[in-house]
Amino acid sequence: MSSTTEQKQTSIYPVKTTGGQERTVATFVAERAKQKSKPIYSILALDTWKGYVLFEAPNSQVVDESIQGFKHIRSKIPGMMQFSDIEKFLITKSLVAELGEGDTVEIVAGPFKGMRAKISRIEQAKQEITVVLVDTPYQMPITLNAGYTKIVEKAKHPSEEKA
Amino acid sequence: MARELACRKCHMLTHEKACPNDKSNELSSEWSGLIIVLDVARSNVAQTLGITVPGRYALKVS
Repeated sequence: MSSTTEQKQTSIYPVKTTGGQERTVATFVAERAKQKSKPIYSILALDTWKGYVLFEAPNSQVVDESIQGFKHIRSKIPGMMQFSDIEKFLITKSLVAELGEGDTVEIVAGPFKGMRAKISRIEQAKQEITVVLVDTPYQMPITLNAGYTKIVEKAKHPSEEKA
Repeated sequence: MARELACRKCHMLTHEKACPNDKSNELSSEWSGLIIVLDVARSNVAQTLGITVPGRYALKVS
């Protein structure tokens, strides 16, 4: 997903919006920028940036002109950010990617919160894992969302055990 | 207005029953993070995410 050509760094301008209206603002400004042929490259309304919309543009003036007069815009944050500052927010990692069968996890939410369990099966598409509780006298498989668990110990690989 | 659906393959958002970009009908209503790309050639965001067609995209689709 990365480009082979050298990227020219663009600037990111954060704009403060009314809470919950980030997508409305992004949609409205995108339409206005298209109509008025403003050189805004992209607009981001990320869940990790609640109350803000990020504009990728060549300069601050373009953003000022595009957001002018829209009711859900509270203020424009002075200054700018480099693209590298927000790059980490764009890379999404699968929750189950780091997990493997046999790993020990701690359940962090729900009725089994605080209990430790061993992963017996991973459902990649649904981001679900089936675990067997460790500290119970009986074996009870539970299927839960990978987001409700925290990895405690990785399973030992057979080659590691020999060494 | 009905909630937009996100293509599981290219992450493009649509109100249709198939993705307008790759014609896939594997769409999901569970998505987060809105990205609107207007200029794919100059946008670092588009280049980082491998977006080649301007439009509305979801950052994460589940």
